Amino acid sequence: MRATVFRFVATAALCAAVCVSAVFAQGNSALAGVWTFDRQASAVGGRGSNVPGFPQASELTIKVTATEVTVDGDTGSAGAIQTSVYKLDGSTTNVPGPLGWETTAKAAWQGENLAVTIRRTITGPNGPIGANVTDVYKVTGSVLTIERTLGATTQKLIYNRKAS
Amino acid sequence: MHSRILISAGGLMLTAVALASAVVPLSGQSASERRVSAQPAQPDGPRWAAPRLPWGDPDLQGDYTNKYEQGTPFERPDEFSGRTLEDVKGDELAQILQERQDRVLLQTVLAGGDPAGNLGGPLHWQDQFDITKGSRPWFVIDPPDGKIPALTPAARQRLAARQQARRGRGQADSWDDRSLYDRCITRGMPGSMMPVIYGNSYRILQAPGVVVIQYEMVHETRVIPVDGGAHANAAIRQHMGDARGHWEGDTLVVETTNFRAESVYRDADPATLKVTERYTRISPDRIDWRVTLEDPNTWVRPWTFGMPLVRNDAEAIVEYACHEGNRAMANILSAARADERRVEELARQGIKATVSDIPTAAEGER
Repeated sequence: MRATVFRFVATAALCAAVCVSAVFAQGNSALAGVWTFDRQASAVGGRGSNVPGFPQASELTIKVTATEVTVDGDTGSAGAIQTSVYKLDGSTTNVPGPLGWETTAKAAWQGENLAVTIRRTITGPNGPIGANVTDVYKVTGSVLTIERTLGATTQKLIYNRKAS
Repeated sequence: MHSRILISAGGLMLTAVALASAVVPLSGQSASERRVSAQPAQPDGPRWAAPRLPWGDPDLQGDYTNKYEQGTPFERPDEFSGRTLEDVKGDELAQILQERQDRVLLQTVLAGGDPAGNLGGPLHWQDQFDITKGSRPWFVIDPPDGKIPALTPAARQRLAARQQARRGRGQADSWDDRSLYDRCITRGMPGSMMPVIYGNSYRILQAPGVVVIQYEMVHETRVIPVDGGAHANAAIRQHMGDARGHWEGDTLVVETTNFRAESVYRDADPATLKVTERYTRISPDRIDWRVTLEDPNTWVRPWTFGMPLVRNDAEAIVEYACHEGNRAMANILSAARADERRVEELARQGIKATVSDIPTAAEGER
């Protein structure tokens, strides 16, 4: 009996270790840090001029662990800090959004990039209706690029790493 | 209901393609070259015959809407440069409509307040939820490049003179500085049937020798004789013009002239503008509406735009309350006076400032 329990615990621990290492292998700890918005370098492309309804944070503070990515940005009312926590286990989480709307996010590593799909939903006359926007976080050296996509429109937001 | 809407949306797309392909390429100014197809092509299959009223006229009666087109740009967007209406269809059109819908939704964040300050239209203007049921990438059918033709030199001169006459006036010095739409007087013709954020319902009634079109927004009604009679005397000018109709097969053709300078469409010459509308019922729930603008004093050639009017009994015309409590104009003017006082106050403090701009065009006006 004791041997069976030991084998179970050992197997579970091994699985956990494998899973965690897999997550880190996929992830990018370089995403962590404080990032300052570079308005001059940021550009838009594709259909339309930008992705509406998503204010740009002037500064982002990002924390990365094996299980989640936390993003703080001054996108709230009067520049208040809003915190979005993106789970990396494939689950959907609630994140800040306009009052009266349900705003959720689902995140996953795509190699070294973090892809976050944000969905905003509200009830219209024919039932719930919503829109999906995807943010892909890419780090190159001391530059963070967030590619924000709605349909055929991709808006590039550039952030520079803030010197510590 | 849902299946009816889906069928309708599919039909609209087919119709858009059919209508676009019915356009005659134009290159010159002769009457024959100017003519666009009076009869829109119908989808493949047995030709649908519009029912007749007891006195023999095609039956157009009912409640219609074009709210599905409120996200449709008037002219061909630059991203479609080199392409025609019939080129943009199927999955591509569906994706375009979905993105237009998403954009409207993302800008409509005023649902109980918006902490980020991105205020959009309130949700009770629910016409904005049906943009994916739109039918086309843009409205201008002819010229085939989807662009409104260039202004004539005379028109440019006329517009410059109007701007000069307004020079020195503020956006809200008086109620006269606001648009007639702002003032709940009229949207003119064909402006009254252009889809906007709400109020996109129209009712068509018929009696022997007359067709009546009622517009939800501003609640104007046109009573159109279809007896082939002559227009009113040129001295008689109206915001909605003077309309005379006749039938060409199943198509109601309405020719409107005698406009007024303050309400004429797109600053055309009210004395020479002729608006020719064609209403063709092409299925049980759809009228093809296309409008040809002719004014040699304004555009270098005639041009045509169009869209479907979709019959929907759930979209009957309702009460139109232009300004809640009828307070908007007083508030606009008093806000402008408050801005001026603020500017004077700042000036006394040695701070140079200007009166904040107040848009002159009402929302969605085009």
